[in-house]
Amino acid sequence: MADIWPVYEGREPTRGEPWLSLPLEDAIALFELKPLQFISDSSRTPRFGPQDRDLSLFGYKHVVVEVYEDESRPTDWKAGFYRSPVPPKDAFNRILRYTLGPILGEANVLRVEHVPSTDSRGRITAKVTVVLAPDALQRITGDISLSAVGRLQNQLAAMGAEGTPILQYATEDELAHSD
Amino acid sequence: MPILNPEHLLAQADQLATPPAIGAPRQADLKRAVSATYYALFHAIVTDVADQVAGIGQRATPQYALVYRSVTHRRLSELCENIVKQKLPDKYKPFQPQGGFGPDLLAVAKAFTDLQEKRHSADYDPLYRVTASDAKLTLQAGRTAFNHWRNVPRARRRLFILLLAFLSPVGRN
Repeated sequence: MADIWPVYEGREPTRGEPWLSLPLEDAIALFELKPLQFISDSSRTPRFGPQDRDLSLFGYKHVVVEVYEDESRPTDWKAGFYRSPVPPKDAFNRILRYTLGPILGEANVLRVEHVPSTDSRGRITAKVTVVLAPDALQRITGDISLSAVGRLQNQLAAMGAEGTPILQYATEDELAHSD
Repeated sequence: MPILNPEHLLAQADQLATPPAIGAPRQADLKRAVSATYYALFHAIVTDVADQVAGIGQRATPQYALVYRSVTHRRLSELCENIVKQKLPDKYKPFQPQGGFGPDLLAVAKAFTDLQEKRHSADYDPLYRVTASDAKLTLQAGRTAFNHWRNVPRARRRLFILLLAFLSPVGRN
């Protein structure tokens, strides 16, 4: 297994739990990892930027993947930390896609986007837009979309969001004519 | 009966979510479709609560209206959030059914929390834009949730009403 950590620069690189735990092979594909991106072994927390200041105000700057010792890894993958080339915002979208794709049907989902927001009670959450394939609408039933809602709520809660997210759908055509 | 019929609200949402023959769908129609879908589920639940607490034969009485009006959007939402998380506050753990709340109630709870947020944005957020695809899928989810509500076993439904009436919101008891 591998953990996906969003990381700040400065003296406090992470807070709370990882965004996601997933099989190593999925992590490699999703976060474009290569063995050369290894940055440190498991005993040494990776740190970026000046270490004398708290820079969390500027948001996440890196995505680090923690690969565990007990993983039955290919020989060129060591246990430890790898830095993904994928920026945090894009990584977040990829996690949402990874979460929702199997429920909505991979062929129905072109991509997933999000914007941070607050819910009607002022709690931190996200507005998530699933960009649908042109003919996807007739293949998504009410039960499928309710499953997607539940899955999204659980995933965002696991990522530390306390509020209720909004899950929206749009086709490319609808997004292109949104003004 | 002046009580709103949830099926009529869903039919209204369907009309509003159907794109016009000519031109782009209006935001006013799509947003009202989202709102009507939410209110269909809200009134379906509240009507059931009032039917069970005040009595279905009392629909024309002030007592019925009193019960009906006592169910708030916020309270319903808080209960549904607890059901989605499958985690009631400690004080109410003994009321949590063994094996969970069941797939029908869980589906209703997911739908309710989602629809309430969408309704809030549709009605009050000037930056919130509803697409025709989203209005259709929202309606479909609302209709499915309405059917799930009708399928919730009687004992679970009674438990839901009990919790709705007596569950104190977290941090307020």
